[in-house]
Amino acid sequence: MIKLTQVSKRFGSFLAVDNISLSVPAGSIFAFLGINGAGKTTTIRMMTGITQPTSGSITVGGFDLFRSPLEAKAIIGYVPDRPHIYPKLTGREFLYFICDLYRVPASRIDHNIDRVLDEYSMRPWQDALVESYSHGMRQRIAMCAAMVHQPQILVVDEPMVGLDPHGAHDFKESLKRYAKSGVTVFLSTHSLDVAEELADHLAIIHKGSILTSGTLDEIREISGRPSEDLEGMFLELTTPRFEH
Amino acid sequence: MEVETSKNDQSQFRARAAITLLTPPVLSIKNRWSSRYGLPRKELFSALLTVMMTVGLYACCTTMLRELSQPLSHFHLTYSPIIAALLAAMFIMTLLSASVSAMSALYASKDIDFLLASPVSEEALVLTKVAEITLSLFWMLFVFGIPLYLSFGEALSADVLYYVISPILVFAFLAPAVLFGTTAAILFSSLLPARGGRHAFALLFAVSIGLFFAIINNGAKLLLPSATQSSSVLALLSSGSPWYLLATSSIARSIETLAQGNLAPTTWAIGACAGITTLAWVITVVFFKKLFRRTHTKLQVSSSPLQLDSRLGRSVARVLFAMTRRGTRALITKEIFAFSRELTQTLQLVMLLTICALYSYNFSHISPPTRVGVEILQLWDVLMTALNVLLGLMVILSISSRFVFPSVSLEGNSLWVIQSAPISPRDILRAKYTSWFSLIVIVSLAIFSAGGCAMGVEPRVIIASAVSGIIISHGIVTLGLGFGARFARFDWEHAGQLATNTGNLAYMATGVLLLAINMVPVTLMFGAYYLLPSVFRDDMAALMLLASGVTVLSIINITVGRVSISIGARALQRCLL
Repeated sequence: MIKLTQVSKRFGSFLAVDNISLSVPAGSIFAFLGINGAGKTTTIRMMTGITQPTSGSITVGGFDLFRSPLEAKAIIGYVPDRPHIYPKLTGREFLYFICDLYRVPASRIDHNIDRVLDEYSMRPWQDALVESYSHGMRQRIAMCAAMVHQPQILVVDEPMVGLDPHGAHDFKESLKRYAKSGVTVFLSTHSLDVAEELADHLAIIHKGSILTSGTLDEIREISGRPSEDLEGMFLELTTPRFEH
Repeated sequence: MEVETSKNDQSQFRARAAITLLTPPVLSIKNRWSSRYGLPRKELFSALLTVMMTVGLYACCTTMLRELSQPLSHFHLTYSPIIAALLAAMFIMTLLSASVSAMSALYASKDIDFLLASPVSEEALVLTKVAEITLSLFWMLFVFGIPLYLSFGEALSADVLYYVISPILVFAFLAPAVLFGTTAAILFSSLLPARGGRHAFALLFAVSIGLFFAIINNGAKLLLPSATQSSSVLALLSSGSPWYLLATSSIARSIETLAQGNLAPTTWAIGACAGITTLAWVITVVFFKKLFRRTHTKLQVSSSPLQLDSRLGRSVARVLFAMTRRGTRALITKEIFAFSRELTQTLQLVMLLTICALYSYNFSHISPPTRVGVEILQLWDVLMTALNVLLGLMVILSISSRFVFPSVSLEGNSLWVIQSAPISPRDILRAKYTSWFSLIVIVSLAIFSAGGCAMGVEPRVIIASAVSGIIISHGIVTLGLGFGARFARFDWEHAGQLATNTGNLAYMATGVLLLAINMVPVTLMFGAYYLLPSVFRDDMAALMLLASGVTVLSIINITVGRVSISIGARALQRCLL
């Protein structure tokens, strides 16, 4: 469903993403792991058409992201790590705006909005301005916006930041539901337990390069530690080694 | 002893705090020039453009002052009235801009919560914000001020004292304007009720305008019996007589005597300005201490003042913009909601509309010269009709530089929403064009019709002026969007910064050039109509003439529009990908 081929991104002399290739199967939950500054957000921004890669190609749902950007973007729902939303719109107005941008059929707009608002318990605040929302509420309204147009692919960057335990639980349950209904979920996270609990496939990125990818069992097999948990393997792979 | 040391530390820390708080904005400017992510091309281009504009303005001013200084038998020119008028205009401009910037820097800035939570005194906080406001305003004054300063120095064959002391004097003269503007913003924000703030504001402003007109009509007449219009206030400010002690006249005369090497009046003027600045500073600090935190809290708590009902707004947009695409209409609706709820934007619009009202009022009081021949009266008609179009378009350009130019940058941190949405850069610019051009058409119609009616010209001339104005407004708006996208800056701290960046300066300079180009066919059209009555007073011939003029204007402005939108879309494409 998502295919990255030899993708690199350079900012001046700094190489943020170095020649990575990934393939995400349809209907799966894919966890993208890495320490701070590893290149996760840059990769996600390239996958959602926000940033142009320096080289390589990205295909989303069969559409080349840079040849047919509008078609590709129409099937993606995106939740950024910092959900800045127009502060002077109400939550509901923002969702109307998203429905119009993504051309949701007029007859389905209210139904879709009510559904996502209920799903993320945002109904009581739907008519308040976004500027009055807490960080967690903004995260939830961003999640509503990502799902209101019923995308085929959901890309979520650091979803657990700012969510309360109820919100985090609801969020994990909703991701499982989406995956069951055929939505492909691409998830970048620091929470290894979330990745372990949800993901069918994983990739670990470090200093802009993919260290390893596959199912959890495949990664265990590759690393030669069949009984190790994800945290142990992650720390082992991403801890700097000093040569003497 | 320990307590004593701690107190000393505290006072030293307080003294340092203001400087410490100013480091982030200074470092931000420095980092923008950093070459870590490649050459800062946008900044280099802006700097180059600024230098070119400054040099161009210097050349124009020098030539103009040289022409004016030619001895004429019936006309004796001294420079102080011109300097006084310029100082008066700069003071008013600084005062208005400072109040708008202060509103934005104090109550809508992203760093304000962080600063309030920091262990810094209120004096340090207000000093930082005043410095920030001053920096944002003086950038433009600097660009316009330097050429004027050098030109006047040359025209006055100034002594070296002029070049050293006059900038200090002008700065000391304008500093109270910044402080009074800041105080006005603090006071006004504290007066805003928790809900329905804008309605209260509109009422307050309407009353202020009424009072302003009443004072001009009656007060100016008392002081100067010949004064019947608001422009006479400027004449009063610059004439010196009978207000010998008026600041602008005194400062202007000090500058003129300074150029002759006489320092004494300037020392007094600087002393007086420093005194007024100190007083203004004390007033600002007192108001800040008394009102700021309470107002800040009030604005935080009452953050849902919905001025435009969601459903009504959407329905109106659906009817008004039925012909546009859905994505475009969604963006237009979003723009309307965001604009109607942003106090700083509303404040600026009301100020600019006040200028429109003053403009129309002044036109209604201009009467043609008496005891002159028919030819002079015909020339007068051409001059006034062209002037109506030109001045009206200058107002449109001001409105556009305040609202259209920053509209792309105003997406700010929410840019990801349209970046990741299936909408093309051209559609984004089209939506912004539709929103702003609709508003500007209404303003244009009001200005040109009111100006024409006030002058009592023929209906066909009023229609031709209004149509020409709308066509040129198309050029101005598209140019604003093109420049706005090309010089887009999404990392602003508060929206007030956007109107004062160098891209906007470049836009205004190019906008003035566009107006100059457009004024050629406008003047030819109205010139032929009034000066050749035997040829063009026939209905069909007049229609043909006006239609030809409008066609030429359409060709110019549609071309400008296409090129601007194309450049803007390409620039936005680079931002979007």
